[in-house]
Amino acid sequence: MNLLLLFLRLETKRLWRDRTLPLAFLLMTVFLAVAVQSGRGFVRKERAIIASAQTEEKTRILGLKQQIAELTSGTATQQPSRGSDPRLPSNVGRLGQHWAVKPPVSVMGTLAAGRNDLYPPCLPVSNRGVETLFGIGEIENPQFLLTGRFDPVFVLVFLFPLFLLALGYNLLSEERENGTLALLRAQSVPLPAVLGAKTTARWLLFALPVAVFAPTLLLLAGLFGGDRITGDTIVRLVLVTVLTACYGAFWLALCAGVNALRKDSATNVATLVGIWLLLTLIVPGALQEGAGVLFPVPSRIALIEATRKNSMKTTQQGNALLARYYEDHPELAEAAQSKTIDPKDFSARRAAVAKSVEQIVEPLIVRHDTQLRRQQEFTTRFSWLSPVITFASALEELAGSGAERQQRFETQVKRFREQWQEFFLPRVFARMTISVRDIESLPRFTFEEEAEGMVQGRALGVAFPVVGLTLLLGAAAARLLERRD
Amino acid sequence: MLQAIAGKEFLQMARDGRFRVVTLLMLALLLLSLFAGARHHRSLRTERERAAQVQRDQWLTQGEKGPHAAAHFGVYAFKPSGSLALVDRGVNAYAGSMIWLEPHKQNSFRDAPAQDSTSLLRFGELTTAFVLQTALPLLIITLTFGAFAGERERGTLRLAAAQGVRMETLALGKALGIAGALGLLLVPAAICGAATLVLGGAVTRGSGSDLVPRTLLLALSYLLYFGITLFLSLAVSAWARTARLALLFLLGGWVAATLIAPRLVADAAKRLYPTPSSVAFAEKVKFELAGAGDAHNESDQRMERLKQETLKQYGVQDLKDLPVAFEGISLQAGEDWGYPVFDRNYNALDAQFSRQEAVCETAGYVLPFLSIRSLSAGLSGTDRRAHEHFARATEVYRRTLIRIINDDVKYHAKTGDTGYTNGRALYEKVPVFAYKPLTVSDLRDSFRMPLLALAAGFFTTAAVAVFSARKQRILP
Amino acid sequence: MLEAQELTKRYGDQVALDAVTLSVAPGEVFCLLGANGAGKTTTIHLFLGFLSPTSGRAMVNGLHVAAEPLKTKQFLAYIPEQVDLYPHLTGRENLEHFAALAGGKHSASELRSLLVEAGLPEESLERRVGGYSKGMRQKVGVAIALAKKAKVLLLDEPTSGLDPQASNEFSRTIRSLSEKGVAVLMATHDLFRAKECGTRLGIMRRGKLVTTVAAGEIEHADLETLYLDYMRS
Repeated sequence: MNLLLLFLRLETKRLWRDRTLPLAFLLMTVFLAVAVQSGRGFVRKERAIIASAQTEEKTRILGLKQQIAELTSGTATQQPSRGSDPRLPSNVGRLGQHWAVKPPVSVMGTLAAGRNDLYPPCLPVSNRGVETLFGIGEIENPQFLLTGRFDPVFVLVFLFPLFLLALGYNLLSEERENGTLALLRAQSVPLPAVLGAKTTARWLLFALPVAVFAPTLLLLAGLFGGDRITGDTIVRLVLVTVLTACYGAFWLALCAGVNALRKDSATNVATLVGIWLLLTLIVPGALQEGAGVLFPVPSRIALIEATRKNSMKTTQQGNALLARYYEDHPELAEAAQSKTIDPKDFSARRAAVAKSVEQIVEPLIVRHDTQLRRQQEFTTRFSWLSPVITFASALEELAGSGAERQQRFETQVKRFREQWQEFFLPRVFARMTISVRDIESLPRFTFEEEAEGMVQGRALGVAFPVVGLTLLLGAAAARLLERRD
Repeated sequence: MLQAIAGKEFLQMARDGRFRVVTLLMLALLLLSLFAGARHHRSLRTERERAAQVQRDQWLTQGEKGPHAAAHFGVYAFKPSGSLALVDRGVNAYAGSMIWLEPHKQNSFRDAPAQDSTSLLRFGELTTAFVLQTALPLLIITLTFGAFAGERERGTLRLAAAQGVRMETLALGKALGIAGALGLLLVPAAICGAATLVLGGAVTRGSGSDLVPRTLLLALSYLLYFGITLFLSLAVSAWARTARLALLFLLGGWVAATLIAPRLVADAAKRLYPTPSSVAFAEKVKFELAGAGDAHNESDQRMERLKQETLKQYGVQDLKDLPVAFEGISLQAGEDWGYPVFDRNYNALDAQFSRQEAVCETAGYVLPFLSIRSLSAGLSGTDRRAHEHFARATEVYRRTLIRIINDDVKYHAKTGDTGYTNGRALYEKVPVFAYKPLTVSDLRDSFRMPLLALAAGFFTTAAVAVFSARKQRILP
Repeated sequence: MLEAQELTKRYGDQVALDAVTLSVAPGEVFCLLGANGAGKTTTIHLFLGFLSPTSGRAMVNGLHVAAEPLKTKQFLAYIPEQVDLYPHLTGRENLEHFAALAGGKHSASELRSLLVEAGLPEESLERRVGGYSKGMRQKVGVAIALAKKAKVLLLDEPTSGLDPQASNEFSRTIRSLSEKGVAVLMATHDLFRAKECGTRLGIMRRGKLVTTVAAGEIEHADLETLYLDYMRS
């Protein structure tokens, strides 16, 4: 402990006087400020998209209601075409399309755009094919999607380690090159203790302050931006601190380990940057390539081929399908017969065909999703190969832009679409018309978030392997030094 | 003398175990990425070629039906994967891979592979382009940072200086020696790359008749890029007081140039020229289309006017007396009304994207990474421009297809007769969608700026390196 | 051959060299004596053009160093206190490289005989320099000078850190070179060695050349007294 205090004092003075520390803090502050700014911009855009979708829906629904009212009361000036008659349930299923919204997480959304820039924050649920729901991304210059964003996660995951490497690459080598190491060793202090104290000192001096500063900046930006701040927000912010501190410890421990190899400073820098490159870029790339080879996802192309093939086949059997449907649902058949609706309305037959095709194609979709899930599981299973992956995914989860939340959203939207179909299909088959009242009782989607405890627990869980790896590295460094002492 | 200096530099590196390890690792990475690229490319290519075939069969065998219904069945177009995509996948993961061509509207591309991938994609793909653009500069930096600073510290620089050698000569000789060491890595990799291209069937299939000029330009661009990195590293090595400082400075520059700056430039470009949101874009198109007229809505005012004009044109009183089917005319009119709307909006979007890219290209004069990235993807046919070109080709095809169908209705059906059907004979009239990618000469203009930027960068940094070498201090 | 005229080098307020005037003729061995920081190395660096003088001139073979740095170096050979070579290259390869830098072309056998002439044992010529002792590296330095056929030899503490035998061999090499008409300027604080191989001795103190004596005119003991006297005053 004494040794730690001693080195803390010494390192503070040295790093401050050679301007390493002020420079590092200055750069980090600038980076984080720019990143938070950029992150807020992204969240603002997401909110704007959601708002415009909701406004669009509101005016559209209002128009529908008005049109229905006019048509039923006979005050309409012109008759709508078959394809746009708002009284037909098959049309309303399309025209009344509902935006399923995945709202950004208050304050935390700023932390990471994650996968959110690939997926729009709201999906149009209607009775059109399920393929209209997914697969269309938010409009963005693909080059910029490729580039990635300058958000706080980028700063913390990619740049923060580089700062730590710059601070820690010469923990021991510098002492050796200055000749002070011989003096140190003459003082009967064990070398591993010196290395440990110096590493801890640098962690306390830079990693910890950054780990506290980054979430604080998020909180401040949230406060000034008028975001809603709850207890959960605070817990998540604290988790960001904990994870960042652990992540910082890992990189410094790596520095200590490399220094224990007793190479010169330049070799240390090259080695550490090589490891950084390996962990941040090469391992994730290789894992992804490996997942693609092991669990090839059947392409969407196959899915579309199958859909078309089956819809060709089933369309020819359209009448038979409809008849079978009425056999299964006699109550609807009765209702249908009592109605006198435009005989040219093929919507019932079309709906029957669509439903049948969906059932046929369903296994393909399931297989597709399963393979994708397997890929994700594979990469998750091997993510311990690089703490960079686990740290990044934990932060994205906390930001509400992780794969897990998106998955959850898509599952719920799929379920909601079934609910939507359940609302319309019986009305289609029963050849009923839609009233203003029906429009008002259209199903609405609300995204059910995962229990907060689960998200937080998963994020915290990431800290353990990182801490474990840190301790392992520390122990290895100590062993190396002792053995050669 | 140049030869002697280069030879010694090369020999020294070849004998240093550390450099051997690093270079071998880089070679492994390069070959691995080439292999992965070839595999990826082959599977994409076979899949899309097959899909296009199946697609055509489905179109032809969809059976007897009303031509408009057949048009609604539509056609899917798949983006072909050019041979050089195995080197640089460019924006392929993020731009959609297929598009549905149907009547009445121009759809957006869908199913970007990025959406069907794990969250690791955002760390970047392990492509040859990544290795060449990002990792290789790191190797150059490790080979070069000590060129002057290290020799100065070691004391060999003063010994060399006392021999009366010009520092400019020394700088050029060192550059040559390091380039030779890099050649040891790049030449086998290039041979492997070329072999993969040939074995992968890219050359024989003749799809890329301009593959050779493309590849040569690509090689030239990368060589300029490596040259810039090399000269900059030499310059820093001459300026820096110690080798350690040179290394730190160069690594900082690498991070700034390849990781930080591209993102900041992208942010700035988006801020200057914002991308519209999908909802806003769709809304705008829908609104403008509504103003343009609805082909399915007989009560539409524009439709009414069209009716009157058609009657006048054929000199008849009633639609029933027309020698052609009015449905064919009205359907085509609906299409024609929509075209300006789609053209206006999609062109505006394209223009906005181009403006964003212009920001990046301008920044490329200071940031060679941006220039090489744009050139590499452009020459590989995987940049956004190539995507846009394909998108336009599909739209042209869509319009041709719809016109053929509508003409069939117009000339073969009778007004008011909803029972008219046609079959394979009609479907065969629609040509197979054959996409002709942009050639190098088409792209001349878009390559000029980044290539110029790289060339300018090459000569500027060479001058800076020579100047710094001359002005450097000899004593530590 | 070598001439310094009022040669002065200042770093801010600090005077490293204060109006030093000296000349070394062909065949002469001029030894600069003095404590650390007296200005000996600075003088040599000024002749080499590694530093530019604040005022005064350094001349080599009648040419102004600052004006023609490359031309003057053609006449110079330089052996620093520590001859630093490329550790991954052999003795011969190092010699080949440095000789080539001076513009010379030598066959492998020529290079080898130069190294042997400088006193390097045959069997070590093709070994990597990383395994050489300090004395051996010094000999490669001598070989570099021999290969250049320089008219002037600038030596900066060449014998410090060498064992007495190596040091003695080195003195002999210097003497034989001077007999061939080479002008030698040697900085050292080894009075004994200076007396051994120098023809003239100059004592430096705080950047000034305080006195010059001919080596033949002074006994060893007197030299020591003289040196200490100047150091004290």
